[in-house]
Amino acid sequence: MVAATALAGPASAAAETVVPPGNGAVNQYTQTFPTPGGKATVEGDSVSSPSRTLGKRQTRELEAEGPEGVAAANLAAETAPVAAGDSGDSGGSGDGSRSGAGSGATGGRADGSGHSVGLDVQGASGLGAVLGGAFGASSGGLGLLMPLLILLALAWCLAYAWRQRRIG
Amino acid sequence: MIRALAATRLHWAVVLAALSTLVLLAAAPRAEAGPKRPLETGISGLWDLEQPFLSQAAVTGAGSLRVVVSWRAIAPASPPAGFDPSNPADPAYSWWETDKRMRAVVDAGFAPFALVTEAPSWAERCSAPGWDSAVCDPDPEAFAAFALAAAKRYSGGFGGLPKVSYWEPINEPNLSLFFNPQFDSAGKPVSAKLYRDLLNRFAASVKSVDPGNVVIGGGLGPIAVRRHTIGPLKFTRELLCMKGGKKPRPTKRGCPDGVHFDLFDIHPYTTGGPTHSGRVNDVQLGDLPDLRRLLNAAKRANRIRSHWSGVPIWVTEFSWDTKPPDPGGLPMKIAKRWVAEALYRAWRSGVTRFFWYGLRDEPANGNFRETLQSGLYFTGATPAADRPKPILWAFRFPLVAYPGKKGLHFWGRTPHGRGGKVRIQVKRQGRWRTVKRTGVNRTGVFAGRVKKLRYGRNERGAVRAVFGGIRSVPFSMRPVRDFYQRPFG
Repeated sequence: MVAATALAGPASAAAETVVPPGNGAVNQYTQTFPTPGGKATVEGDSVSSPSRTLGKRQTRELEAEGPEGVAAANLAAETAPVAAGDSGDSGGSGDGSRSGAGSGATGGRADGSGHSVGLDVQGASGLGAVLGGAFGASSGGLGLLMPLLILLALAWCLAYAWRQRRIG
Repeated sequence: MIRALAATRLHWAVVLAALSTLVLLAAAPRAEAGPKRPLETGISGLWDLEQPFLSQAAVTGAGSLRVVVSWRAIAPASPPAGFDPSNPADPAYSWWETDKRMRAVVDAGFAPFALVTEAPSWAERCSAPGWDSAVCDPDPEAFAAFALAAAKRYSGGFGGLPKVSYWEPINEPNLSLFFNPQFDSAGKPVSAKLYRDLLNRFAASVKSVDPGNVVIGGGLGPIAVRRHTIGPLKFTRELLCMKGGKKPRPTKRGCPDGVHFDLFDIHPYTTGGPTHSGRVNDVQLGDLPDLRRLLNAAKRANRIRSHWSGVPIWVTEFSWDTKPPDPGGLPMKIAKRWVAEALYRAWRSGVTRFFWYGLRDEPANGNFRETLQSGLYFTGATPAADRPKPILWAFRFPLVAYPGKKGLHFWGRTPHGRGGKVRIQVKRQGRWRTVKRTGVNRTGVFAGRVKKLRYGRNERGAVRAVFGGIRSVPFSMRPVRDFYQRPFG
């Protein structure tokens, strides 16, 4: 954000200014139109165009009314809901707008109330979390699979010893 | 007979070896290894790099400070005859202020990271309205020459000046506030491509002085604003010649020589809480996993040429204005919780260093709209009268705890990231009771679960950690929903 210095050599070495928010600068950091859930912005390079939101005719009519009409058309476009898959990515990403409140945590479940269950201590993937749970890596215990593996190994050892004795 | 006996013994040895391996595998997770990934902290918006502010910064547990290396301030207003821009001792350069800052930071025990930004007008190839600190298409060759001079000067072998190991070019190159042009006349984004050239040349200069120097790429602002900024995910895709959203993959053409940096920096200022996601190309706290996924894919595709097999993420700017003193800021009671959660969410997404932006609130004189009140200290009439905010303690010793079906999950980081033993305590009938003792390794990060403990499932109570007599800020079991909260109040 605000790495704005006005160092200009020895004469004004102490003169530093921080970019003041509130006069336009801050708008490059802050979503301005929240949805009721506080989630999605309507800003961004993926918003709909006025003609797409309002239709070409209505957009033309609004724009004919001058700057205020243009502003109204833009506002309508910027506040229009974005359909899933409308990424606005020139590279054709095809990813849609993101899910609702409380999301954004990989590996764990977020229930929308800020209540995340199941900390992923290693920041692992979902598969990693499952394997970690199975082998007990996250809990510090044996997990489910490990005792099973030990039992299987023991059974194999006994069978092997019995077979050796018979051969002997 | 002897051969048969030897064969039998061999078989038994194999069996024993297999059993031993299994036993070792079973026993290993029980050791209190703790998470291996560290989370270090720093302060990035500290301008008065002198006492008592450096001591205040030390109290926060921060180990790093950002130092701005202003190309414009150091370079001559116009290059004189015989000017050698790659020579750190060229008499036309004016380094003394930066030298003083670097020395102060290192002498106070912090690791500096250099943000090389701004540009002298003679090195810019366009002009655009913006802040004084905005750069406009700087000449990559001239930028590389200055980076070489700076890296030589702070190589640890120049005039007794300290060594700087971390280097970042250009602040927030996806915002028109700091970098121009963002778009060409047809509205097509161009800044990522321009920045790629600057970054690669910068990395070559810095690494030529010391291959061990670490180059930080990105430093991106958080959101897309039509006609002004490019969403950081989109910018990063263009920078790394990648495409795709949820399944990022390399483009067929572009980036033939890769993009040269070692770790990636993002400024995920969040208009809401720690789980809040922005729009499709934004990176706010809840979007960090998307950035992680993109960087991983780019690394696998060999788009990123770096020191390490992975690409660590740094958050070098983050904050919320608090109430008090800002009437539009985040209420302090929630801020304490969200600061700890912000650190946890960031760490979980692969962030290894997290910088809080402000150390002290800016003097407001009633003007809260145009000043930042996101410091870790309330600003007093004199620096000696500064008072720590409650969020300072959450930043210094964060702890989060979430009740789950299999017990109480917790995560935290000890002050200054020290190793040792931590006690997890829950509040019952007005008294704190220890429910778990756990070891902390040298990263200072600890995480785990108190098995079968149903505490907090009724959304009542609080959890805290105790480390060497220091108590974390209690973490309430009552969840706080995400809501619209402007980061700057």
